[in-house]
Amino acid sequence: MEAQKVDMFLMMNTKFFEAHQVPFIRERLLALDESKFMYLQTAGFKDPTISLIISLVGGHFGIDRFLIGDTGLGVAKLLTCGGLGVWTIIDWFLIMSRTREVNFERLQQILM
Amino acid sequence: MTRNKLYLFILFFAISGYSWVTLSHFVFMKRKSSFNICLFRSITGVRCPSCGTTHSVLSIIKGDFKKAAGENILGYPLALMLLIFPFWVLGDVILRKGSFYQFYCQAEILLRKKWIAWSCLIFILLNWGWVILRHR
Repeated sequence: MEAQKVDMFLMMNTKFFEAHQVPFIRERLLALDESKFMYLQTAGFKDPTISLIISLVGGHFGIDRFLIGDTGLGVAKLLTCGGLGVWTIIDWFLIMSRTREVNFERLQQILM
Repeated sequence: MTRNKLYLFILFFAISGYSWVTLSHFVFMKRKSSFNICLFRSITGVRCPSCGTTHSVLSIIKGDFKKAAGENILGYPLALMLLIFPFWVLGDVILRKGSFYQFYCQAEILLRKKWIAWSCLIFILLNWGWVILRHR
């Protein structure tokens, strides 16, 4: 892919990934076929800030986990009163990095 | 989620679950106090969809299935999970298999299907309404 397109993509989507993953993503995107750019644009990455807000409001019911695609963990959180309240509080601090991790996994699926 | 992470989580979940049930049985239930650990209930005063599951699981252990259903019907799936999952995971670890991981992935795909997700959501909401009404 053209360097200009890759930089534009990164400029708009850096917040969806961990900072240390960005150089790797750039390298992989530069080597990527032009036809996959469309898939990248429609990947629908989850916003870590949104998931944090959801976690603060509805984390007790596991809605944050359902949102990022961890359905199994969402069910576990819902059935256990948010892990007796402890898991809810832990997730307030973990959910942003987990969201970025999930986004990176989704990007890797497109890159493969 | 990788296989090892999931198995670690399930084992941690099971140890916490069994510890909580034991602690509830020997300490909290004997005191007959209004102690509750639910964050949502402590803040809003309203029961959450899974409030009463500890009582329900304890009733199932005692064999009082009718009382368990009255406390919170979600105690049944939770008790089943506590009974089956840790032993399934331990079996997988010993035999170096991944059958539970495959089951978990299949269950996640199934739960993401729209009609199943909506049915579960409606069931949870109805059950929540029932729990609130019953303990008013």
